[in-house]
Amino acid sequence: MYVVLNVVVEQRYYITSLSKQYNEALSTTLSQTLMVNPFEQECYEYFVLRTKYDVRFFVYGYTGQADIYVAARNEPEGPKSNRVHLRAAFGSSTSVAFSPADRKDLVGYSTGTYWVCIFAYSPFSGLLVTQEADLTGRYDLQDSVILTKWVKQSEYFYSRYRNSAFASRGVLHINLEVAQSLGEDDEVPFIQWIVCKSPIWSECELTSA
Amino acid sequence: MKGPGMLKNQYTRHLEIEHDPSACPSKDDPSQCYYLLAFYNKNSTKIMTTSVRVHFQSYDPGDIDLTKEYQNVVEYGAFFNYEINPAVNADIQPFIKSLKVKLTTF
Repeated sequence: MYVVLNVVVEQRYYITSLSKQYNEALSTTLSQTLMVNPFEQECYEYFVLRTKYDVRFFVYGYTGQADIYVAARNEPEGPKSNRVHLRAAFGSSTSVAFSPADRKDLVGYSTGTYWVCIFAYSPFSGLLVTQEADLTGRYDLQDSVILTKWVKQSEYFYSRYRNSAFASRGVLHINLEVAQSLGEDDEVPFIQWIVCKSPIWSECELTSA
Repeated sequence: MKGPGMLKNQYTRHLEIEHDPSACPSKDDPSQCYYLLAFYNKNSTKIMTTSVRVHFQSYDPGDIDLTKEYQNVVEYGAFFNYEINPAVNADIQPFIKSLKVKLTTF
């Protein structure tokens, strides 16, 4: 790129430039390397194809701190934009999940364009992984990777966890946090658990214990 | 079915589960042991944006071979346990006069 300046009046001029890379659309088969400058937003587009599949975006942070949030249809202007539908909890590695019902009832449509955005507070690098699969609203948890999701009123959501160090004894720490302020009659969702009798998802039910 | 966890504050609930490998269905391979976790929003009017984080803290610390360097990633608020034991360092440990641990972050 060349910048040609035809100076008519002799003065002191300054040329500044600002470049922004064009981010390619996300794919479930390729992970996306992230490099985000402080106080800038980088957004990636993903087209949800299947009405009955769950969608999950993972951000594994290597360095720096950033907000991760998802908007539907239109790219948000920043982390505080009212286009943002779901914001991941703050943490170095995090994920956000949308079930088909979440997308239909709370976003308004189950297929179409979603934007995953990263707003960095310090030089941020990481990896963005996209998953679209028939998870039937059940999500595998990875150690120390936060999962953020809506839970509708009087409803459950289910997760499953295992660890390669389970051959030894230890303690499983489970933290659940809600993002909004609660009224007097509201309660933080309950946590219930069992040890699965089988490693097959469909054979592990709360009632089977 | 067990739960429901302790309220830490207005926004957070915490649950600790003592993991015992003998409770796993596959005694030969406890690493294939799964926990099913269910999160129930008992409020009848409010949709909740919930975030869940699970971390396993093993009682069995990793063995340290005193001739090697180790790299690991420690999350905010978390920690790792390591153990220097004579089984791994049989040739060195009986003769140690002083021990210096050097920690580098990058």
